[in-house]
Amino acid sequence: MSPVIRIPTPLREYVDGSTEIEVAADTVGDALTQLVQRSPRLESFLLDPDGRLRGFVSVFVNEDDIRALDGPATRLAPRDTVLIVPTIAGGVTSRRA
Amino acid sequence: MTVLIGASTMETICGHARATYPDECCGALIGRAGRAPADDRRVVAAFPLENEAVDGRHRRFVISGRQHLACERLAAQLGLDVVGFYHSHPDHPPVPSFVDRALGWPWYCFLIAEVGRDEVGPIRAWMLPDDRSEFSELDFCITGKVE
Repeated sequence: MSPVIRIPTPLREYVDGSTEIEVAADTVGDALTQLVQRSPRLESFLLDPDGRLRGFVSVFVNEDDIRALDGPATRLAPRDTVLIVPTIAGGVTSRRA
Repeated sequence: MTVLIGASTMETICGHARATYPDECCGALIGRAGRAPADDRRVVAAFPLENEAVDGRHRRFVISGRQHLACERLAAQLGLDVVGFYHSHPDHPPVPSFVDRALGWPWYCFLIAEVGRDEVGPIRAWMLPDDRSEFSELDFCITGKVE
């Protein structure tokens, strides 16, 4: 069994409604690259113009945030689940909105 | 699309906004989204969360991926989804700011509650389109109970 990427609800319409997508990847970075190649409209949500993971996207491998591991170089085992989780943020500005 | 929300859930949101004033509060909206984009959003419960903004919590909120993931898992245990988020705008109108737009995500509904020293309201509901160009306001309806 290959690793799977769990797709967050807002992005499922870009992958034909799928909740999970199986990938043949050895690292988290490779897995995300495969996902974006399959569904290019996801790129603007996940990656910045330099191809790095956007700041307000968290990626977990099973229970662990990859920022506490090796980032995109984090190795994947066959049964791992990669979870893409939006960080939600905002608020008023310093002036009246 | 209309956001249907129970009166007790609104009380949870208002109570949270009052408790954290003058800082912003934030939380997740748990419920059912329906299959079609135009289907009503049924908000069954609100989960108050910690505002994880490092500083400036009177004008910023952050819900980390870890908190969000915990909500997703709890919602799934209840057979529900995270259908949106709420936050307060202390002493500011409940209208999305450019920060809300820049950092927001499509699909979710966002409830924003204006809160002052003595009262909460009005509260308005918003959603970003896929291109994140501009929030659209959603109708919302407070009912006795939503399941």
